[in-house]
Amino acid sequence: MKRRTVIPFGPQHVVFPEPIQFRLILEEERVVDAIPALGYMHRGIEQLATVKDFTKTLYLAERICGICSVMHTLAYAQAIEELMGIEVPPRAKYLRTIWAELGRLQSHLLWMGLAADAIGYESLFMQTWRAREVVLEMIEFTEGSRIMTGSITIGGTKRDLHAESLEFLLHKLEHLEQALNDIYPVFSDDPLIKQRTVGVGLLSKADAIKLGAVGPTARGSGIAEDMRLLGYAAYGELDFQPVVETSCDSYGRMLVRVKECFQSIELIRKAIAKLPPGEVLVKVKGRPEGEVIMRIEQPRGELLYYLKAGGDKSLARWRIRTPTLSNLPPLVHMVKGARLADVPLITLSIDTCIACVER
Amino acid sequence: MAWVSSARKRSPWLLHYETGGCNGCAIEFVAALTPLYDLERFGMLNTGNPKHADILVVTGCVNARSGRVLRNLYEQMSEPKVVVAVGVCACTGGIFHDGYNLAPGADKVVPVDLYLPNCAARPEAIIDALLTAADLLAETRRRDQHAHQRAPDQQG
Amino acid sequence: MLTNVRLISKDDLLETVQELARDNYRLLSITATEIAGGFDLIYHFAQGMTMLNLRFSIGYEQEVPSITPFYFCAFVPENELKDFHGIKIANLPINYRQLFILSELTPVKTPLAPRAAAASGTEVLPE
Repeated sequence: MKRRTVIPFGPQHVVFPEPIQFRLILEEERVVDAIPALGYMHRGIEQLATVKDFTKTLYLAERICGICSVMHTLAYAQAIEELMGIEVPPRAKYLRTIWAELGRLQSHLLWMGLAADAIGYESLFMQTWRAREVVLEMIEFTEGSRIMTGSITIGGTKRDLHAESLEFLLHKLEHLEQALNDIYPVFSDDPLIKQRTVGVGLLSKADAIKLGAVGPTARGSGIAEDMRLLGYAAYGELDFQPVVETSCDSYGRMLVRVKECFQSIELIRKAIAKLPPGEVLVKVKGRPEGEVIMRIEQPRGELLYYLKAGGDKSLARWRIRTPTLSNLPPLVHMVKGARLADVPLITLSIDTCIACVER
Repeated sequence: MAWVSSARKRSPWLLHYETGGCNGCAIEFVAALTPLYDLERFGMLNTGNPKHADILVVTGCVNARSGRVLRNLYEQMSEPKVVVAVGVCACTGGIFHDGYNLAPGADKVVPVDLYLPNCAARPEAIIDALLTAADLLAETRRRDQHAHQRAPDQQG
Repeated sequence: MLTNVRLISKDDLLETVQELARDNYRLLSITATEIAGGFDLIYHFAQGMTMLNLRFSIGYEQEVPSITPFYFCAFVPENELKDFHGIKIANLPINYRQLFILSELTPVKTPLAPRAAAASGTEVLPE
């Protein structure tokens, strides 16, 4: 047997904005095993929810993760609405869809930038984040803030979009599409990027199912699963097909995300065209009671909430299963056999969100 | 030696560590480095090596496990150094204040010079805080104070 | 709402999970809730968009068999059960010994099972 070395990778590393540690067991340059070490971002949100008022837990949900804050409020609001039997006005459903897709756009662009940075393609990183600022401008104009917007609430939305805002959105979407058209060929054809991603971090379709991969990680391995097909919010009325790639490597997962950006732009345009008139918020009275499971599609994959309420002011149990938690076992599988220098990129290829994982 | 202090002020290197929290401030910090806000025009550079860094940017609430890492990073930085707590979580613990796993604020673990409360901190505010931090770095008198500062509570 | 629930007993767990693994179900997660005298466990599976939930209850002292022989990825939620609830899992191949997400410096043990923690005399959370 060759001599084995253990290298701690992280928690502080330039590639990640977040702390996670991998204990990599190496034989020369090859990784033979990887053990994730978590706990650097754990806050105890599930416990806090059993103490706080259920309406205040909405803000806690928003702060599970700063990148997909809209998705968490959406899932939480939908879960409480289902428990209390509240019917949300159709206009609010469409607004939620628009904001969710804007959130997906900024998250995917953020990831594309970080991936370019991990490859060492600094100028591409800067270009992608320049395009991301266009999305953030749209978010700020329509929701009032860049990250923690608080725009989705139990019973509807807190804001409405006026004709002026919709025009602004459509105008900016055009800008964004142009910028993406410039960026897309670099991600799909640039030899430097292909050299670093093609055939790196392989995950076969069978393994993806067995190890429970979700979201773009699963879709990059040929599994056509997208929770938006469940038809929550207004997705049931907007015709779309999930983006699927069959190359089963980092390149495939990257292409899924880049193509989903174009899909999101289309979805926002469709939602604006179909936006029904009317109220955006209904009054909420009483307290939730019962059990509910809520599945929605986050930028990183399927988010699963299990809520149990006993008619008290706070919830009895709030189980949060975030997509990255599901994608950790596939990641451990992918890293095995890789070279040490490829580990940062493979880790990024599942779009790790540690804030989500550790709650 | 006046040029040394001037150089410190004009090109401080940054070390960023996310100690917990939701990531929002961490992303805004990276956004401040990119073309629209362009922090690098002030000569600031994001480095991954604590021995090279002058300013430690802390985002997120300090928890039981990350406090030790933060302390470790702080101790490895050479004098003079300035610590900036970005976001309300790094200042006081924010919305997670009552959590069982947290220290209420980064100042329980390392001495903090500048507090930037916001949820999430905007890139403009981060730039403002970092420029102020660069000014502090150039103050030699303050630097001596920092060197003799009492050891903070060894929490976390 | 919580639909597609199949009530099973603890002893049938491995057999049922083996069948699901054969039918290409995906494991989504495992949820535990503290109830009077023990825990209520739900294993969430899915095949495409349809979910299937296996549900059973255990007492505080009872041990649950690990389902990692059929779903290796179950080591993640099973370690969470150990961390947050103190549930005993038998034959867990990757065992973090209650240090998966919590750390040795965390002032409380089993934060999501306050009654169990109170009974065993460790520090409890303030209400």
